Amino acid sequence: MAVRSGREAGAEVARALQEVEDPELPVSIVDLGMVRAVTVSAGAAVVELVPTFLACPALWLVESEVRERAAGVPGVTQCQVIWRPGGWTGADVTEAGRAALAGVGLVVPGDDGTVRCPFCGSAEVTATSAFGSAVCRSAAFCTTCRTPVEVLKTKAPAGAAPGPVEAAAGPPGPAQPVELRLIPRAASAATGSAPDGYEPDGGAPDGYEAAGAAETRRAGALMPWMNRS
Amino acid sequence: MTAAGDGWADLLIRLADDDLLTGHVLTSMAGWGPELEINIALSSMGQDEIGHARRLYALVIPDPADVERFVYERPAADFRASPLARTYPREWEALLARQYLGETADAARAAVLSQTTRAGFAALLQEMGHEQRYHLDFWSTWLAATCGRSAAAGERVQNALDQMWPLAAVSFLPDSPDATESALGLPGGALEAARRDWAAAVQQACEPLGLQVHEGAVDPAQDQLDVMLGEMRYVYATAPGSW
Repeated sequence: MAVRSGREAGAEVARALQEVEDPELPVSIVDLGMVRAVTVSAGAAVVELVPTFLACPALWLVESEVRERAAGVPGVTQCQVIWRPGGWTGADVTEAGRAALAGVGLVVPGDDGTVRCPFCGSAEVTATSAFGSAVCRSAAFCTTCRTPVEVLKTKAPAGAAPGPVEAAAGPPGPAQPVELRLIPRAASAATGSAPDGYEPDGGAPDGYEAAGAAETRRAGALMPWMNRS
Repeated sequence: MTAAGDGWADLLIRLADDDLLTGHVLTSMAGWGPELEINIALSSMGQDEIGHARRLYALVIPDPADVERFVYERPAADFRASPLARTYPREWEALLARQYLGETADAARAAVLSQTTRAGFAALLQEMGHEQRYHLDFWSTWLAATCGRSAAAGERVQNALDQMWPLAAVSFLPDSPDATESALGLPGGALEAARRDWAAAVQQACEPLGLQVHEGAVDPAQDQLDVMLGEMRYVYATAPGSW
């Protein structure tokens, strides 16, 4: 986080933001890596934030509390919050933030993609779904202590290949050929069976569990730690 | 709000309208999936889409209160959503075809649009793309899994593809590609070239699954915008100011 000008007032606003927690997570937005810059000039504070995920429903609450905290700093008469699509990734979470998240069973993958169970420390963590209880989380399971684990979804850094889907938007630059890939039929067939459509009035189709396993493996391509078990 | 013919604003509203309607479709389908994880995925993806729509609308209309009125009180005739986004599938296979075609088109189109000289828009597209890779992976996986289930399942997917492809094929390009390319500083013809590449890639990806991409006519009955607007406005009336 950059603190620019405003000297003491700016530093104090930055300290005040340490007290602002993500409403869905027991961790400061500073430790979550959401605060990118704080500027105070002539009593006007400008706080630049990045969302973890663009659709996070807590953003307006975060913004509201940032304004409130900044306004509580002596010498600050107004506060502007600017949201920037800044490419937040798990690497932005501080060590203190990782520890706080681990305390509630939520893991941030390491720089090398490693995920360790927050309860027993095992690396034998298997993904169960790329989609979890919030847009920024995926669901996983520790096969050692047999406990469900949540993993903070991280975004591929700019320019990095995110996995097998290569048609997504890349960084500005020369045009790249579009390549779309699907699971080969053989990979799907290897699961034994796949869903026979879904029928809201007829109950769950047989075989969807096996297809779920295919999804788990597929999701592993996006999140390498998923394939560890 | 914006004048028609403004390539920049027209594009943003078109993309935002598409994401808004897709978000509505997905969140409306959450709860109908065969297992909890699929319902969570539908809900999560729907939330992402609506979040992306919010970001795009905000680039055209700075005041959130104005956006809310623009979204919910705008006459249906003023919506610029694509024909594919106006569909409102009620069956798994139709949803699968709609989303697979929509997500692949989104990704291919964004790869071109993100080369714009408008740096802020390029950054937003890149971030949206990172988030939607999870979506594309989900739909690609389920398309393959459903086709592999049985001959009958494959036939249902083929029927859904026959229904959705003509809509997707006319949905790739913005209404005025030339104006869009000019407004974004893109080379002329870049979008049409991307559309051709995307169509070829979809055909290539479908073949191993036993699917054929057939040309066909757009079925006007697939336009369910009025139904979706009715549902969204009903909720809006119960909680105005929640945008």
